[in-house]
Amino acid sequence: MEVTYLTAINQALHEEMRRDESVFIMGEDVAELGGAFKVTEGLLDAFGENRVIDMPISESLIVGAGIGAAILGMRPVVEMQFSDFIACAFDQIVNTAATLRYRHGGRAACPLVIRSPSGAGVHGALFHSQNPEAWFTRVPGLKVVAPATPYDAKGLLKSAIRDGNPVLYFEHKRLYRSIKEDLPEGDFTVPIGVAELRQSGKDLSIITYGGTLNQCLDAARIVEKEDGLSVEVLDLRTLLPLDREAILATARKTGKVLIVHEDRVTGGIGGEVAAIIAENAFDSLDAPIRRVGAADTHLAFSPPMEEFILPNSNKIVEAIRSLAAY
Amino acid sequence: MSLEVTMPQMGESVVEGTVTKWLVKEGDRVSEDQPLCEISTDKVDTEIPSPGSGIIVRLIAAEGQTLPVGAPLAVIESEPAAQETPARQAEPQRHSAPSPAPLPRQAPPPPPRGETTATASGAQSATAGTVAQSSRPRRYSPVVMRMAEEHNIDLSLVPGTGIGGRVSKRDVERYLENLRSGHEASQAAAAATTVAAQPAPAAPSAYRPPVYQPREGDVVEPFSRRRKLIAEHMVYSKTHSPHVGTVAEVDLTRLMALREAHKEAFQRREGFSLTLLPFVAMATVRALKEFPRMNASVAGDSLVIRRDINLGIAMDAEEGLVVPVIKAADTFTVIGLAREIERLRVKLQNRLLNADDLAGGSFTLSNPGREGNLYGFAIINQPQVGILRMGEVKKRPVVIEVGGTEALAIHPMMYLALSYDHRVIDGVLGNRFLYRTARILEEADFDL
Repeated sequence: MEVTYLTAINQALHEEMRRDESVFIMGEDVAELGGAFKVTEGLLDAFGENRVIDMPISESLIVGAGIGAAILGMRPVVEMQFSDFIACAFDQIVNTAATLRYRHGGRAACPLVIRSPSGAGVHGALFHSQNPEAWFTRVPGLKVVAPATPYDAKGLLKSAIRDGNPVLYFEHKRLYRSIKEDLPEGDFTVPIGVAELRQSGKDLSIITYGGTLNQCLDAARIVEKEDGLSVEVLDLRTLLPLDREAILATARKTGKVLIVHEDRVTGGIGGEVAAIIAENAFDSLDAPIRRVGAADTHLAFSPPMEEFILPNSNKIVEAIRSLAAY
Repeated sequence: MSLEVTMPQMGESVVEGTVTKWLVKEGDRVSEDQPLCEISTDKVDTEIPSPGSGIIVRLIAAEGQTLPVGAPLAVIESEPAAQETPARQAEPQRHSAPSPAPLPRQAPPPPPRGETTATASGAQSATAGTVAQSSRPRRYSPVVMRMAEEHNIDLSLVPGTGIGGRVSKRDVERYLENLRSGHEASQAAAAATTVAAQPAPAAPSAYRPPVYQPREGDVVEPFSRRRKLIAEHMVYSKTHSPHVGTVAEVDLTRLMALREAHKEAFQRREGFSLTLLPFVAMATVRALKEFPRMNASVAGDSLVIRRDINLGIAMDAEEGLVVPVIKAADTFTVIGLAREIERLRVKLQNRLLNADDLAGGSFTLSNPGREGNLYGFAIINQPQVGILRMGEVKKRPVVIEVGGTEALAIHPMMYLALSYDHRVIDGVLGNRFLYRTARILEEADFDL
């Protein structure tokens, strides 16, 4: 059946809660309202108020409660209403959840999923547009995923719920209702830590994830048609741990790499990807590694300003052309 | 409402243009038809008029950028930007609202390039101009270095097609491929003749022009775009078309008499003088009609015989030679041709030639004028198959027949030289065509 990215997430939650009684949901407005974006709609009716719990507006409390429940053997899925507010729970995530297994010599686990609606392009301004994934991608003990398609949204959420470690699941708000995909019937998962080659090509590689995947594919189509360029597109899907093999394989194949993400350029995961390539595939490079990302500023409310700050397929096309010409 | 200014179609054969200069900047208010920028194509330089009035919100193309026809150059906001529809839905994921014209984008990052390379070229360009390119030490990307080592190739022999002539991975691959196919060809040849052949030389050419050494008093003139195009066209023509040159001697006695008889009336009526050129053009057109294979183009592996005779007339211009074209030259009388030539000459003088004036030629006539010397062989204007060049007209003693006896007479004479492409034109055809052109001129059977 063809479903939206949002429905895919909702389906994963339904199916996992049905499969495993230890799975439950906590978050702001997740029960009665069905979530600010209606991602958790129907779950309260299906599973009752003991498994779908409205929480006070305190991200630190929500994650903290999730960690406690996870230690005791539950598999909580907690929601940050907007990933912009995940900063309030920063300490619980990086100091408590991420270190738990290490602190207990491997004898305690924290199978917690933190769902975090992120991303811009929805005129959400400074506090409802952020892409905070890179704050967490340098923290051992965490896993960070960012699906770009309905299939991956469903498959990665299922894998996250079944994983024995804390997983940050960044879902892109702009994708909720803007993309659809025919999903197979029955249970399937997408492995964490495995990138997906979306398009094979020979002239240069784009490495991307999440909200910019479709922009990259659009740009690749444009340059294929107008410039005859053959562009390879790699979707990282998981940001921690990175699929180093896939990254190096595409870099070695084409020798020219463009990294695209909606997160800001400075300090974004693209810098780490570039470093991996420079360290391990230097003698395959035919051009400097280039990055396209949000400008190093806060998101503006003004739509033209937002357009100016964010990456888009035109900016990606420009970068492809200059890299191809190099 | 925003208007997009795009690279115009400046002629049937024009596929791209270069923005040589912006005449406006972002934020400027412009009126309709106001020139926005200067565009240079391989045929012509022109200005692009504004398609409407408004404010320049964005200059998309950078000076020096070459873009295909239809590519956006700038955006003009023709009236205050329409207010965005207020959000009807509270949910933040609505995203279908029309996005307004984007603001000026950040300046594009400078082309990625090694610091040292940039400095080196900067330092040299001050003294050596464009010649610096070849003498500056080249730098290579890691993959190019590795491939050079693996295949044991001298990178200075590999032509670079990247930014600033950089050798890219693809250039090395192409070079290796050429090397390989060259080897195979020579091996096949050796096997066929069963002669113990010398190993084929690995490098495509052993000769390299000497590196330019600056000397005091040198004046270095970097090629203009026009000059660069002419240079490449000429090299292409000479390397692709084996030129054969043939010269005919033309006795212009009758033609000069005809011209003399009409000269004054023509000048009075038309306002310009009647020269030899329209007559030669007319003779050429008539001969082309008799030998249509000379009115042709080479397209790939085909000879394309053109129905219309579009006669190019080579004219000298400040920036270099241009060849405006008389379309359907076979539909004109001599006077019509004279008017056409004059019209194009005036346009050239006033820099008003457009790409269409220069496009579509099927044969070319070159008239170097009074100081054109005895004769000379012009280079074929590609993809045409022949070009005629007039020599100087000079009175010479010639042997004529008067009443069955030979006598010496003084006649105005001209040498007419034809260069033709021997790939497609055999000697028989080339000779006959030139012979006919010369006879038509000598007969001077023209209506005026």
